[in-house]
Amino acid sequence: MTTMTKEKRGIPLSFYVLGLLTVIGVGLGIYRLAVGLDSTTNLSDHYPWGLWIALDVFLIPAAGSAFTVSAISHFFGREDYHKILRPAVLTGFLGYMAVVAILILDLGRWHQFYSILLPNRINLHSFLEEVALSVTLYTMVLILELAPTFLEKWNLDLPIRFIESGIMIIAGVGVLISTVHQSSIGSMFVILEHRLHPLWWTPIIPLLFLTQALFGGLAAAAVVIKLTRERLGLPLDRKLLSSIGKVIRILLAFYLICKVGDLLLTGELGLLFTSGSYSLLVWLELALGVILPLAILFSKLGKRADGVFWAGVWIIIGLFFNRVTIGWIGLEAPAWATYVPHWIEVMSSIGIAAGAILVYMIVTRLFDLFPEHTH
Amino acid sequence: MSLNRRQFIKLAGLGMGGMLLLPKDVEASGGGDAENGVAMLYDTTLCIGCKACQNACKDWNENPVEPDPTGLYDAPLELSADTWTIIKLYDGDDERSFSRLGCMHCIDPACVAACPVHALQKTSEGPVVYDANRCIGCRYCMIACPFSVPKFEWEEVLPRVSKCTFCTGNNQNREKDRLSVGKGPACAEACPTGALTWGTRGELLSEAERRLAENADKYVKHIYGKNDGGGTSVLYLSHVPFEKLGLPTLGPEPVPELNDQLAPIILPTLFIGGVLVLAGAHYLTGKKSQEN
Repeated sequence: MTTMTKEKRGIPLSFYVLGLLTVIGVGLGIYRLAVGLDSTTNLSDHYPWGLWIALDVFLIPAAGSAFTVSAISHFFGREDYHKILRPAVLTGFLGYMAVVAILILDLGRWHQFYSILLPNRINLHSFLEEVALSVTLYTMVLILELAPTFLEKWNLDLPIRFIESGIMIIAGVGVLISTVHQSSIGSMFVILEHRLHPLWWTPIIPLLFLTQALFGGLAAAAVVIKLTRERLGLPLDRKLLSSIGKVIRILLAFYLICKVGDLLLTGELGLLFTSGSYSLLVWLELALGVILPLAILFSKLGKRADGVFWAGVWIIIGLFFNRVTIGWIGLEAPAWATYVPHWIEVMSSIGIAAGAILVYMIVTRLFDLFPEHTH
Repeated sequence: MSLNRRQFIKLAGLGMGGMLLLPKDVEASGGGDAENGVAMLYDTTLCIGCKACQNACKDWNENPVEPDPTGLYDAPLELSADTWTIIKLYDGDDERSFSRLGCMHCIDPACVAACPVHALQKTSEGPVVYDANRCIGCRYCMIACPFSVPKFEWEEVLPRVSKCTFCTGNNQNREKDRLSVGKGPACAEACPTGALTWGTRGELLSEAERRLAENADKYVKHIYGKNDGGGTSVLYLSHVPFEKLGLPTLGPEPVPELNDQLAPIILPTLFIGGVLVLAGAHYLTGKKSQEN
């Protein structure tokens, strides 16, 4: 995403670029569904999972902006967070839409996708099933939370009042489902002890994933809100952003303690130095995505909107490294086997991301994401 | 190391408010009936590497041959969607052994625990079977299996997961079901030397014990699959270390043990915890704003 300094009446170039990428991505996606995985991906029996799964495992916590901001504004009595609820929920919703789109591309038997919803088929001991069910349910919650933004445009007061009267229940259910499935994505890897590199495999991976979703979601919210308000020419609420920064830094510190503590207690701290490129990966991930943002947020920069924004950017980058490693690179494959994503895997993913950003930008223009009258 | 981890999760569980106390002794899905289920025993000291098992498997299941780039066949290098059992040769410095690889039909299979839609199931007769009509093609089973057995029909538009069915025809294809008509798996019945035999798991375990006792100097003193990975329905006797045969080193606990312990408790734990946190926060902050 780039920020444009001057806002013109016409349609900016970025819309066309994103639109073109979206069209290419959708076209390639349809092509992939029509012809199968063999000629459109480089996945194989040695690499059954690749870029697409890694991106899904990354996007879900990044889309945590919705449940984190929703929890703070509805349940922790922070009225000021109400102001950023709409963009945070919209970001979360579009993130989940991207996840579902990428997942459908990845599923070999996508025509039987409905299996995950049939009570006589589902396996509740499978954490993948738990994630699939939660994502479905949570998407419905997000639609309800988002609906007033659109309904108010046409003055449909009745459904809005209906949703607002139950908003505490809707938001509460949303926060609970999110908490459960953000950890369940981590739990999916519990059964993969023999596959996932020991630097990342740990029985507390559900706790690590949940914590990452909390700070990752808030980081995404901070980044998106700064960009959106700048684009709309609205002033930034420095106090609010630095308050987000304060929550993030507590969560980051907790994550760092858990991560290092886990390696320490299981006697695997040495792996930080002896695992070759994997050691480098974990250092990159922790240095850029945890320690650097911690340093920013505990310094004077943390009081500035810019500081929180950049801390958020680094957190998202670190999260990306972490999840791509866990969903793809850190999963053991035979030494002779290789996997580099096929260009169709890459371009379809870029197209889906571009589509999500484009929809966000269009909604920002046409609807009121920062209503002043919220109470 | 694995013991450390298990202790650690218990510690972590206590740390999470004592809510993660793990239930003991989750029953393996095969349960006590595993001994009566069908099984196979492979003995490296008897195997001559003739690949009769490999060919019989392809013949019976009508799996296509896999020619090499010059068009010569059939010598697949690895298990694949078309090759469900394979003979390999370990050629060490001063020892060599053939190895037969394929689905282990685990007593508590990781693929079955992982599958979100019960497309893979452990039958009470022993075989692990697959139902393509449920499968969504997520390939979690392929990642979860410690033996890397399930393979995918990559070249198909709507690929199925593919692996040894223990000649049950996955309990769907009656034509390919040998078990129900009293025959054994095609591979075991084709073996000319008795290196690969079939029977109930109980019978084969006592047979393996007998061979170990009578020829103690010939074998590594271990029946692979008796307890490894929680026990499997394909058992191995070997004169070379089992890891040389391409078998992973697994502890006695079932591979999905921790998964199955977490599955029933993590959801209610987080849910109740979440409700308490949200309600608590709401109550406390509400009180504060009233005071102001």
